[in-house]
Amino acid sequence: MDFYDIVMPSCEFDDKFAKRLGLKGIFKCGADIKLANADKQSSFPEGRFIAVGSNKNNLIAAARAGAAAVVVSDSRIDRKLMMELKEQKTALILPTTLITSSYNLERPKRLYMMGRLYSHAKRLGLDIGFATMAESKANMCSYMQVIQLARLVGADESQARHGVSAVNPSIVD
Amino acid sequence: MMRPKHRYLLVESLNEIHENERPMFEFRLYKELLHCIGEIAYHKVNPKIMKFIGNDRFVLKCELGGYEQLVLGLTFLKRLDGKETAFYTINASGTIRALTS
Repeated sequence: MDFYDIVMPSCEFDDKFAKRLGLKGIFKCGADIKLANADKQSSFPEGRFIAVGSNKNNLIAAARAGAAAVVVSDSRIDRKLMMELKEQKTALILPTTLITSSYNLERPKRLYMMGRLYSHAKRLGLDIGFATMAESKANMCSYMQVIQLARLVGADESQARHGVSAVNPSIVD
Repeated sequence: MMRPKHRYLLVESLNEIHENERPMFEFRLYKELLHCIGEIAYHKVNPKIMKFIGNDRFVLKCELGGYEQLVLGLTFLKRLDGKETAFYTINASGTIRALTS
């Protein structure tokens, strides 16, 4: 089974490092797939792109505009957005950086919200990918760590592995 | 009574760990892992550095039942002694030989 990760444009790494982490490939937003900030723009690029933001109306517009995947920055459930993602067959990425970059009481709060978001998305049958969406090398993780974080959020072993090995590359291709 | 089973993790650090810093690094690592894993679960994990490989890798031993919590603890550990850091679990095995070959 091959594992893949998706990172933000500011993340710098080399191929040997990706191999050491046990990842077959690391996709960089901006280079391998377009990135759209749904909080700052309401019009989106053509072709496949990943929309990141917390503005639910803009995320719905992004899904309708052909987004390959959506990242909900505040991990809050919006039923209308979830239904739109299901209808458009848009994947949902749960970024592990939201958990690893927080401290003290903020971290369990984010874990709880991401767990509820995951549970809701799973019930609706959405494609759920687990990626670091790291902005720097310090936020990157090996495939083992991403899978354990996915399990902490509520996925079982097979769902976590599927999210990292199958959903992530399907978003970019 | 049967010997308890262990897991060995090969861990890579973002920052270099020089030879003279190793004793202090070990102490600080255990202290931070205690904070991440918690007092209730720490004894079930029982982490211990077995050996250092180069300046940025080390082998960490833990109880088999606490392996997942140790991986998560290392993932959560982003600051050590006030400096930003990261630990990547490269590999896991039941023996050190299989890990380092």
